[in-house]
Amino acid sequence: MRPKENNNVRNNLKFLALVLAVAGCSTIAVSLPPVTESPTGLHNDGRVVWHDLLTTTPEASRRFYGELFGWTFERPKLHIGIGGDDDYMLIRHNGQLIGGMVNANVLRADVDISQWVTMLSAGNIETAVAAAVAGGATVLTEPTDVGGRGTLAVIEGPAGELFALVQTRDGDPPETEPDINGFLWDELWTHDVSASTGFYSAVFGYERSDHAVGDSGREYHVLRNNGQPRVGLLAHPVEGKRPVWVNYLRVEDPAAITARVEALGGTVLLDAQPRAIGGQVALILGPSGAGIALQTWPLEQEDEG
Amino acid sequence: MKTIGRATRLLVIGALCLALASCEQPHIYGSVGFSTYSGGWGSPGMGTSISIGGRIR
Repeated sequence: MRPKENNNVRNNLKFLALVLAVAGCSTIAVSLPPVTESPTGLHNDGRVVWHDLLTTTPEASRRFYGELFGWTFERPKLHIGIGGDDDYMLIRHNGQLIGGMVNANVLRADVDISQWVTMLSAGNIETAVAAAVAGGATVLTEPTDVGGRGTLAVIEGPAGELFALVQTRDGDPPETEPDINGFLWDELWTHDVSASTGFYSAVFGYERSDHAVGDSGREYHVLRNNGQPRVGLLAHPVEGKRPVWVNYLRVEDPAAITARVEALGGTVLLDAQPRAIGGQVALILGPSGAGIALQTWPLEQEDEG
Repeated sequence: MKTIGRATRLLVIGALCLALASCEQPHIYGSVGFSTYSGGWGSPGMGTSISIGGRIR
């Protein structure tokens, strides 16, 4: 090859490298693994299929949930573009994926956003987001392809509650009985039960059933579709407090858990106490202030005891 | 000629560094809590409804 041709080849290679670098920049994307390693190929609209913990104290949170519930944390494989090494961790329980943990310190938030985010399945996320917007919601993150997990959107509901939608790429997880120390249930505490029912029913096709809660004089509301109970609704106990999704873990002995919470850097918001319809319940905060409820299950066994 | 070659190389490397440095990593939750949202926890009153809540069936 003559010197002039040699130079041309070199120059072309340099130009190609530059183009690739710039193009690579524009295509950086979040890539997350699926919500399950046993995808069903089905999409159950309105079913909670994932939980992400936003925490400003990732190390303390790992220890807290690991010690209390036996959860393990791992970096996703083929993880690209969400930040530093430990900015997103997968959570496993009994070998199964049950959620994720986001280091909230790398986000832009100018307020404390520590909390568990409830992620609901949507067979067609564009349609679900459009219905949410029509119902008065704000889209915080437009539907975004996140690789193996599918397409995600983050929504602020019309009452101000935060939740997320996912159109899973390969389908939702199988419906199984919740494990001890695994996620059991999710409910929205809202100041306007009727308005929230209308909003979520429009997005997911829910129907509401109302249930008297023991002798409390209060009602509990269950939203269901396709014959399955999906989530609960409850009148918010604190006037002026922002509506929030509350997530429940199935535990065997809430008091045994709450006894260890403070030593692990958490707070007991409400100690273990009887539920109005049987069993026990407690409410705790993790080290970053994210709240989570503990509940015994099922009711039948509790009633027998 | 050698000097020009080195300068070109440095220029290309500099351009690559600039291009990569300008890549902002995306965050799914990047818009949460940006002057709009804060978590709903932290008030003792949050505990008062818990005996009513939870899975019932």
